[in-house]
Amino acid sequence: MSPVTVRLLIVLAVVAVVTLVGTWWRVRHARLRRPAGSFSDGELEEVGLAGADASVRGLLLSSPTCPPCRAVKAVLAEAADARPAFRWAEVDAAEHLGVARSHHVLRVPTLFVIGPDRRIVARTSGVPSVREMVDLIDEPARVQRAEPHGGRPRTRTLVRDGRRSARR
Amino acid sequence: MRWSTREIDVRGPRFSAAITMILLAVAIVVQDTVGLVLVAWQVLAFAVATVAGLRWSLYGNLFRFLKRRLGWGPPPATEPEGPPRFAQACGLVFAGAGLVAIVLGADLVGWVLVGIVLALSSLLALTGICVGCELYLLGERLRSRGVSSG
Repeated sequence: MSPVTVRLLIVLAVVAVVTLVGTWWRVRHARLRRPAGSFSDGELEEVGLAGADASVRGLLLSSPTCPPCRAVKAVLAEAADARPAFRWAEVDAAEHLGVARSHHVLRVPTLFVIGPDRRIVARTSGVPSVREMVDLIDEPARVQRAEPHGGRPRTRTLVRDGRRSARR
Repeated sequence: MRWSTREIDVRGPRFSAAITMILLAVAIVVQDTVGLVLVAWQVLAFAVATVAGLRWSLYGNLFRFLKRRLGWGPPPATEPEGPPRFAQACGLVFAGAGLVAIVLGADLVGWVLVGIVLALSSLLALTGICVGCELYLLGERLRSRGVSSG
């Protein structure tokens, strides 16, 4: 093989490997995961999602410069329109490093869906569909149908740090 | 390093990465003078985008020209300029070092450095993952930790 052919093969191999690894990485992070674990009352208090009500909560850890975060926010807003009891908050991961660290958040966006018992229902670093979000919101109610809860007034909390959001 | 928070079309950096990928792939395959000129051109493109901003980016302007002429429509989303501009700076460092190495006779080292830029630009072009942008965001998070704890 001539050196040019060898180099051509190397270039093609590099591009192929990079594409495979990149696709795998994307799929892995976009997947909805079902980790064990729960949020403490203190953590929920910190991000503005405290409250003894039986609603499912969404917590989005984001950063000011993150295009997918905006997409996730739009999905959360739509899900809250469909399920008024659903409350969600967006916080800057950099401002809540304790929460980010204790839940091993390495990248933004990371979205947690938190059940009424503060247990984590799901987490993802991708952009879920509204359909998926609504299913997740309905899930705890399906699981424990013995505990009925009425529709609460919509209380969507949007927590953001003033200094950072002012830059937008 | 903090640059303007100007918003850009998210397709722009990916388009630029595709051109970078093709250019550097050809450069690595043919090498010699033609390859060296292509690498030098790419270093220039990185330098312009890093120093003057993405508004002046050579490929960015080509993207905007084609977008107008071919009617690619409004951006599906926009993003701040900072992360992709930082990624251009990373490209500048690696491609620049590669160019210097090749000129000084360290061919293998030089072309491996160019190959790293090829790998990262094809990652962005083909899968949309921008490693330089992620590094910028990581740095921003670390820095703001310093600010908030200090």
